[in-house]
Amino acid sequence: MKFILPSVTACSSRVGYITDIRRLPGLVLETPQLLLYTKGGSIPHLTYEVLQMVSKEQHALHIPISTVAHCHEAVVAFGKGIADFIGLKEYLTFCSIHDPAAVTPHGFNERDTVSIWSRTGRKQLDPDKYMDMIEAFQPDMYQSLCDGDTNPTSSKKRVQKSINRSIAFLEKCLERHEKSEVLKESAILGAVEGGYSIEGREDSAKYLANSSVFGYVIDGLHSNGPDVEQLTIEDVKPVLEASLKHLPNDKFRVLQGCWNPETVLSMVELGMDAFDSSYVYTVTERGGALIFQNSIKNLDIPSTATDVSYGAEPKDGSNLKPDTSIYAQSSYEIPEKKKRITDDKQVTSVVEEDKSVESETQGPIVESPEDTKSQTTSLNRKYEISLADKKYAEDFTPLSRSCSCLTCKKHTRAYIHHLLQTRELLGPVLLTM
Amino acid sequence: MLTPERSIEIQNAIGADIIMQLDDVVRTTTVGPRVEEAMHRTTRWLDRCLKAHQNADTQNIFPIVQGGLNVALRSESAKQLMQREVPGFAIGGLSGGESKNDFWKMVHLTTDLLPEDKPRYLMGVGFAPDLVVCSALGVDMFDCVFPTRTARFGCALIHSGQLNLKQKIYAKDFQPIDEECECSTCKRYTRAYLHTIVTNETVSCHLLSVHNISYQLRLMKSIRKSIEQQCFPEFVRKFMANMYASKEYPQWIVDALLAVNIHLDLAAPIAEK
Repeated sequence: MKFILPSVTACSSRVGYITDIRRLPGLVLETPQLLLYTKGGSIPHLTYEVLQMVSKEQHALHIPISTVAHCHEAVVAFGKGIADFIGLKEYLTFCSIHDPAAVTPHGFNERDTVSIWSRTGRKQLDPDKYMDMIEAFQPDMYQSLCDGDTNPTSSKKRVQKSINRSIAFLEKCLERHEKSEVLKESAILGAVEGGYSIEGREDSAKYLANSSVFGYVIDGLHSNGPDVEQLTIEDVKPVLEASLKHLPNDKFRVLQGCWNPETVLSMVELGMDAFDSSYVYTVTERGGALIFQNSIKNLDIPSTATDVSYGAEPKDGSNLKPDTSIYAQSSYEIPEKKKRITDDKQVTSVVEEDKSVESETQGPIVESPEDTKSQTTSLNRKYEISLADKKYAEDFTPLSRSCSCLTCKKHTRAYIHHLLQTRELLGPVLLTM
Repeated sequence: MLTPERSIEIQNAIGADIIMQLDDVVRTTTVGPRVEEAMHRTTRWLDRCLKAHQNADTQNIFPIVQGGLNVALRSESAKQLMQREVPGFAIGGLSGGESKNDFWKMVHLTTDLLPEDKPRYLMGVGFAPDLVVCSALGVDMFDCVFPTRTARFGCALIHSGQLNLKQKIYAKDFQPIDEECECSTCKRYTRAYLHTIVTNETVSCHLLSVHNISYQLRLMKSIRKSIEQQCFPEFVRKFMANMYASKEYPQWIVDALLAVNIHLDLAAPIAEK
């Protein structure tokens, strides 16, 4: 497998190609790339056939080990790796450790193990157990075991632990990787840790720069879960830059999480190559539809808006502007920044499907009373409309006029609103598409 | 509350090709004067529906035969409805909690009475054996939530019954649901993988629904083909042999088929599972 960059400069956006994948000859994956988030081995709500209606191209799948750990035994017996087992062998597979759409509870990693939360409960993985799974799954690309349980309030000691442990884990994983027959064609990525300490980041990156990995995951910036979309580039830019500064430019860089599109764009500007689509999943689950307006700067986003019809076109068809994707805009103004959500909010660990989770409930979300809600609203509502809202009941326009997906070509907001009201399975399918 | 007129108004707006009268349907286990009342009311409501129907040339309205499990009432219902000029007939008030023995007799009675040259639509049926038997009894159309509902609960339909894919026995079963099935699910997914996602990922609902519907469509196609090729009784024998291992056929199926002169292979060699 190769990662090719036509031209390389430090800390700036770049276009690249992943190619020469032995298992998938002819597949060329362009970067910056969106890895398709999966849960239990499937893109949420989309079968292979329905996925073809979205895109016929070959893509890469983001497969968190925590969501397929319960398949380990079966995949071993199957013998042909996870891609084939899940019925998606035409796609490149990338294994991460944790589920980006679910909060990873704090405080459960130990010196020699990392905890994951699978369907059957908490599992403690040491490098050997982890590599056993990787060898069974035979992903085309995967990250080394690492401890990324850090956040902006982590102590220096904790940050140092995450760096040291991850280095130790990497060494063991590399050892197994190099010995393994089945992983000969697979690419291993090292994890850059260091929490929110600039120095820590640089140390971690410098170590990794000397290791024989295919690329890097930038880890330790968050603990996954839907709240990651609240993070702005200002929150992470210093440590992200510090991470990238000492990494060789010509290697592949991945960053997982439910980042909001604005932050993703900024991270691409800094030199990131790949993300995952868990954000799509979290938006869908709350009945939201993503639409990107042409000119954000033209709209006044009220600070206490609960009903920002950003992008929702009025029924009578007046004021219709063509939507163009935000990515087509070469320049736009980020609306005046509202008060940031304080970083020391406590997050209730929610792993919905897994009743046996030993989660560390740290209390409800502590919101700053004035405008956390509006902050959330204004950040979220910029890109999405909430189809559960009654006002769409008779809105017969498509989700987005400029979108050519099946949902927008064949269906209306009113219909999707109806599907959500009646809890039909088709609702999330159309939104995901 | 729904009136016949309102029901037709809504159906006219929806624009379906076949629409149903509003009927007064009682539980199959009900006995007494309520059954007769419902039967007569259904006829009166049919007339009201026909009158309210705005789109007679683009939407076909079907009456629904009632009468519960009572021979006299059901006959009367059919006769009354047949006096109206309609493009087809539905048989209702069955596939509730009644015994299969009562069920088939009412279907048989009704199909004998209804005109031969108009479609007969048996509502709420059903399971594969019921589809086969009722086709033998002269039914033309069916509807049922069964294939998709059972799919959502993790069950896949095959010629010998159902696979409950939640069961651990499928954890390492790398066959498709059905080797001979050509649906998109069977082409790509194994029982083992489906076992990991049933009741956990919505994708499993879709995959199994596709298979189950495909199974039932194939079944109906086979029924039609064997009727055309004049070997329907043979088809039924084979079907039942696959469905009921060791020839332990439910008595009602034996009786129902006998009523239309189809004899099941009671003494034939055991079919391979």
